[in-house]
Amino acid sequence: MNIKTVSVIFRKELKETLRDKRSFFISVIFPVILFPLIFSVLDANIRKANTRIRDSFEIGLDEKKGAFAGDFLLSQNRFTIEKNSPYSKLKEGKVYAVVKSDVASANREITIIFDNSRQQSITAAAELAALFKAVSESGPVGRSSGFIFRQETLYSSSTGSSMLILSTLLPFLMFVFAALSPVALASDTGAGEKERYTIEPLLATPAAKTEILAGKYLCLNVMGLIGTVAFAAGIIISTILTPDVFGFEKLEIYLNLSSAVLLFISAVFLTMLFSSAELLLSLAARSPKEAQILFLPLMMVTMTAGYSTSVIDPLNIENIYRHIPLLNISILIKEFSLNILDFRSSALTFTWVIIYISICLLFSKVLISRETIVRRE
Amino acid sequence: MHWNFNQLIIYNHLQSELLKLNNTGIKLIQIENISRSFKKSNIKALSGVTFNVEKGESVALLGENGAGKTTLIRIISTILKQDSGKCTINSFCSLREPDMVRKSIGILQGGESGLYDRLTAWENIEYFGLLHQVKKETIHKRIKLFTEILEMEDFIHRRSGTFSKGMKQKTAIARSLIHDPEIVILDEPTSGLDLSASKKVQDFILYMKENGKSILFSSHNMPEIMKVSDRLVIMHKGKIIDSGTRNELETRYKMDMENTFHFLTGERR
Repeated sequence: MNIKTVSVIFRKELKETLRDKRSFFISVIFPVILFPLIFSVLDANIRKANTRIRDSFEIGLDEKKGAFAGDFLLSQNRFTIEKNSPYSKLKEGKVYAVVKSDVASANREITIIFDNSRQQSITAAAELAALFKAVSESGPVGRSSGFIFRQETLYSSSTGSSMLILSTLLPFLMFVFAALSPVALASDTGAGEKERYTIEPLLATPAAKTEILAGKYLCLNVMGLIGTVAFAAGIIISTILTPDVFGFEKLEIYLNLSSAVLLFISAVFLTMLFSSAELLLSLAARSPKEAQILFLPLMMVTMTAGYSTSVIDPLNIENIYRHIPLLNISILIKEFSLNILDFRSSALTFTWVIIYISICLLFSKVLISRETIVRRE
Repeated sequence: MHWNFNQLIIYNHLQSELLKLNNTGIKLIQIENISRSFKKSNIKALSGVTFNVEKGESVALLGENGAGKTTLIRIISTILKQDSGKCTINSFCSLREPDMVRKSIGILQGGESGLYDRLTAWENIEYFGLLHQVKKETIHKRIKLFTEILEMEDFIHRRSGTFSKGMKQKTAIARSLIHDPEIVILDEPTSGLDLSASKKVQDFILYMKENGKSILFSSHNMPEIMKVSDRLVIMHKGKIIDSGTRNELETRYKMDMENTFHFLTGERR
């Protein structure tokens, strides 16, 4: 091997890459700016959630008269106590945990019940457990000492872990599937037409540009959906064959029919969204290679949005998140995966997705109508 | 009754003579004072170009690289829009009725043939026929006819990704004519082809001409131009510098056509 030849080729490749300012910006500058920006927003959100649980949070209380837990918790000045229907409120996410205290019990039991499908509830239960443990060990002799302390989960262990893992993984996986499935076809259908020089004869036919776009978009959706279903099938088979890999004790089907249908609708919407975005980027690119580079930022944002949802409490979602592109649908998928169905937020998110799709298709129409779509100038 | 290719040519020649008697003077392509600039590269590609192509006529656009031939062809095929001037194709305005213009013309773009590699030659041609809303049976009949005339039997059902330049060009020509357009526009149809493939394409242009098609084509190949064109339009730096039949031009400049072309496009201009 001649090092000189390797060096000549290396320098030429580097020169060519660096001369393409768009590619350089996307592959080098963009991630350097994007990730700190996204993660600082994410960090603020995690900090806020953690601080909230550390400082104060809502607790449901189920205690008999004369029990000490309620008074003790109130004396901490950290908790908002909810005594009415505490278990329903735990399911609805209005309280983070329920403390059950029964002084009449022969053993003076204190039980912390938490939602084992929500990370925030698990954290809150851990905070409470630490508090009670400290009191039990070092507290003054009297009502608050010498009790039996237990923890219970809202769902069975396998259901809880299935729900927790699925609600954490599903938004991310669905984003990855829906974004990746149409990629190859998308880069070929727009930029590929330019590179093959087939765009010019195509535009010289009586087919309207809207018809050309619609045909391409439809194909992207069909192939994207087939890909998404194939990805999902692969994951489902894997969870059945090797549940340990995913952290399941055993796979528990806990989704109700409405949630399953809405998850499928979300997958369709996601595929439509990514297909439209990728069609737009492909039309903006001069070659499939350039299209792949333009897809990079989309993939980065997609992965981040899919991942970000894992740290968001599905039962305490700030309204602003419903308006942030990608994050809103990611949250919705998380909600559906936990059987949380809210018509208003679903309608709002789907409306936003339709708006994003329309914007992408509108810009695609603008691009295909521009003379620069014909590459040879 | 089955006719061979030569019989078809003779039959079509007789028909075209009759057509010419009836159609003389009908202008299918009317280019009036067309100008076009490319702002980004600061190039004035066309400047006040005016000429016509009559029904059944074969006109050659002759010019060096960068003369504006391809830009003009793109304007006629509605791919580009002119900055000023009027382009009327088959009595349809290219700006106001681009769909009707596209239905009236069959275009072969210059350079790459622009075929879908993973489709066969048959599928490539059929796809464009369907986009032109031609019935499937008609498309299939025409593909069979083109296959015979252009001698495409060996590769018509093969994927075009493996084709030679000649095979690609024949497929692209068949594709551009699948909707039986009245006007045929060919941008350097024999560029890069070997002698045999070039001859086949030239014969096919003659066949179309005999069939009453109006043909506008660009070429650098002087013998080809002499063989298939009725009239020449010579372009230089975005302008038409002269036009006429070969005899008219040779008489006007008192030299053969090749020297006339060099004289007109030389440094003196």
